[in-house]
Amino acid sequence: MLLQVNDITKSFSQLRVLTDLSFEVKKGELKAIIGPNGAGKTTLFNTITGRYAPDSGTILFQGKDVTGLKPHNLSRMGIARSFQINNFFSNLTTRENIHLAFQSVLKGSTSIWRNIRKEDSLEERSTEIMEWIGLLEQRDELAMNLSYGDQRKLEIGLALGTNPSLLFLDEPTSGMSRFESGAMIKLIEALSERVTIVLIEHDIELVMKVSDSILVINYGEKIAEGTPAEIEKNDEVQRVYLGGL
Amino acid sequence: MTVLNGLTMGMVLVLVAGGLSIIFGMLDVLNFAHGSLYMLGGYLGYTLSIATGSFWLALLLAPVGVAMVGFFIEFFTLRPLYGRPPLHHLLLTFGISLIAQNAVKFIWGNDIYSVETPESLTGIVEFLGIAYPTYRLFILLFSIGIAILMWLLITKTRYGIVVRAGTEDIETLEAHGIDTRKVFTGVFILGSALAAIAGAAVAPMRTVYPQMGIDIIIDAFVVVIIGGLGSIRGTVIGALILGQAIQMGAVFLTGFADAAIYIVMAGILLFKPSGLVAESN
Amino acid sequence: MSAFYRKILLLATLLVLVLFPFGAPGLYSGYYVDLFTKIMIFGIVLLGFDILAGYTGLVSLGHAMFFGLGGYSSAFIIIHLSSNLFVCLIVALLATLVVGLVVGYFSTQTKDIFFVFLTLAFAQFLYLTAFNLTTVTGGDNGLSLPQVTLGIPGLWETLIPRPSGFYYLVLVFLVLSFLYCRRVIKSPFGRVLVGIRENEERVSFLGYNVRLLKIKAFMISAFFAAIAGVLFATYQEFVSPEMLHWSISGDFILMSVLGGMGTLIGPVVGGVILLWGGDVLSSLTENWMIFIGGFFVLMIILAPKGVVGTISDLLNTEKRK
Ligand SMILES: Nc1ncnc2c1ncn2[C@@H]1O[C@H](COP(=O)(O)OP(=O)(O)O)[C@@H](O)[C@H]1O
Ligand SMILES: [Mg+2]
Repeated sequence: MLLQVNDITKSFSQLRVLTDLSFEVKKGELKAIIGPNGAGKTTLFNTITGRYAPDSGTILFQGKDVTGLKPHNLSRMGIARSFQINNFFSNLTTRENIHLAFQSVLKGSTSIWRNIRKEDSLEERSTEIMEWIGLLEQRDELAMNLSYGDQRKLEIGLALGTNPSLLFLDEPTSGMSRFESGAMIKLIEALSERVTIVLIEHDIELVMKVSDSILVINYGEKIAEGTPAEIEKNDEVQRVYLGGL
Repeated sequence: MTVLNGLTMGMVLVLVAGGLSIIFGMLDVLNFAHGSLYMLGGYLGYTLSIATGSFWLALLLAPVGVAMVGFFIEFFTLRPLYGRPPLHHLLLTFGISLIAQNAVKFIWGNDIYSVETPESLTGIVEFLGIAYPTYRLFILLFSIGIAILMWLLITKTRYGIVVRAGTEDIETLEAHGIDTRKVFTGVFILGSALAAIAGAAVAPMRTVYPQMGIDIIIDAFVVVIIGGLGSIRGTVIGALILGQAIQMGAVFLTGFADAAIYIVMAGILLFKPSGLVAESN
Repeated sequence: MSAFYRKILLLATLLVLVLFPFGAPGLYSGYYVDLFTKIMIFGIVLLGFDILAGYTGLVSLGHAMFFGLGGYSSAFIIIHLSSNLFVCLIVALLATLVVGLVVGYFSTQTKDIFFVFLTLAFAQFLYLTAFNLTTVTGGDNGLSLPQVTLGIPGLWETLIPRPSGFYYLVLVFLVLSFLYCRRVIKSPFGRVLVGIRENEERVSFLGYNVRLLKIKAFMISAFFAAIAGVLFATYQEFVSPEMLHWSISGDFILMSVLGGMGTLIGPVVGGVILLWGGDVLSSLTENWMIFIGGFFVLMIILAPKGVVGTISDLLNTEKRK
């Protein structure tokens, strides 16, 4: 098991956002998390990736207890994430953005005296990532001048840059046109060949098609978990979520 | 006695820091020039009380004059800067305070002026078993009075409701078709007048001198910061704490009294890095 | 501007600075050699300060603390232990290491305006200590110190000839500081600092320990302020609490903003503008700060990137056309 989340609870003052939530992520799978707006999906990501510590419960990554670790520790262990709301370096170019991400896994990533060297292949690997996400032509554009769709791609590029073994993607297609999100989902499918992915996604049809397993939450509680086929048949899911469609 | 002095001090800080806090909450501007407005209030009060022969008239007119200065500052220098990083506002108003301080030196010179305490408020009163200078007691009650007036203005009038809504959420105000620019100007003028009232009122107690603006702005900033920026409740709490700290410092840390405010601020920020009443977002 | 022209410009500036003392007293009075020595000492602070304020985005209103710490450390050393400049420097840097780590550790817990004022609080605390510990620091009167020497303690030591000897000493420090700071901002470390300035949260999600890096940047800038403080005190042969006062920290910020934060050379240009310009203005009117204030206000409104930042922006858009 790559990731085990056991009974985590998280509240903001009075508001309880996550309640005794547990699930697991297998190595190599693409797991989707769905649930209505405000269900606590982003908060779940935030607690796993270290933005907040959970109030109770434990998180195990590769068998090690990582509960309450800081984002930079988790990132170094191989956990990366993208954000629902763009969270990159607006005043830097696409290339500089990706460099910053990729630099973090190089030797001497914050050294004053050691230069980034040829054999670090920073340039090659960054180019590879930019090609992958389709931003090679926009490499010298400032991030804030990119089109919205391209910004969403950069958001993922930054997460990919740190060479993660577990990748959390928070609504990568949010705000995209249907056409753009189709391309984005293709990209994610291709990615899932190389890295384990946990994906929050609104479009149920897409989720059903691409994911290996699905976790459904509502009001911070798990209401179902299983393969797409199982989820489709689940009565409770039908009632609280799919029924609304 | 020390506690009472601290309370008086704290209430004066409520007036000065209150204006600072409302301006920050509404305009997102950290106004370093706020101390200059307080200083101008003191100097104008001094000149006017000599010219008119009446302290009370001066206390009424000085804030009006300073409010006009406030209008010019907001209209000509701050307006072009809305939407810029908060640091720009702080730097801009820092520049303005340099201008103001040296302009004051240019006009009034480097001298220290003492303003005469009005006849009716000289002497000492006995109450609760302590003898207390009448003028200090007046300042205490006067500040409380102004603070209550402000509170009524903010909670009970339409204008106040707009301002309060504005400190929470500017977009909603705009959506309601309110001209936020006018509101901004109004708030800045109001804050300026408050600072001037405080400056003119405490002049008989503390004299008038070119450094007075800098001295008070540091205190006022400390108040607003330990209070948690933009929270009016926090500002009042901060002012009262700091008033006590300053007076206690004067008594127990003789020779080192000025360090009291920094000790209090550092102490609070170490445990609450965003102040006592931090906005939750 | 291409890198080539920038190099030429820098070398030309260096040449002028090297030749400058030869012009006095023929072309201008020796007073200007003195003034430029002081400006260059401030330049050393400003280079380090830009790494913290300009590149990392942490504007400290407490750097007079390290400037004064350097000053007082060397005063104590010269008076009680050794007149050697390098002994002074080593002790000053050790003192800065201790104070800087404490202040840096706590200050970097906070951000933005809270950082500004927490650094102010620490610095004012030191100022008031120096002011009140009359028996040790001489209080408001300050301390006069004997002349500093250069060389190997016990073997061979020499006084530094004035004014030119000191001028060149400071120039050497300035050039070395510039080379080091440029190294820092071009290094992987420097790039991450810019990342922190732009979006510190994302930097931490990319696996960097933001707090640690901030403390590092803080320490580097503190060391430069301390070195400059040593030079200033030994040059003036005098220290006073003024060196620690927050208005000096304010001047560092003023200079940095005027010249252009985050351009490394900009703050130094700002230092030249404020100190040289202030010198010229102060001979004309007593209240010259009105004009500095006015100029500063105009710059913030019209050209917030400062002189160097604005010029380099203009040149870049020229090129693109
Ligand atoms: N930092 C926070 N402080 C207070 N409430 C929060 C915070 N973050 C999220 N919430 C609340 O938690 C609930 C779940 O939000 P979120 O996790 O963003 O849902 P989702 O991503 O499923 O749409 C919402 O009611 C939201 O208002
Ligand atoms: Mg969400």
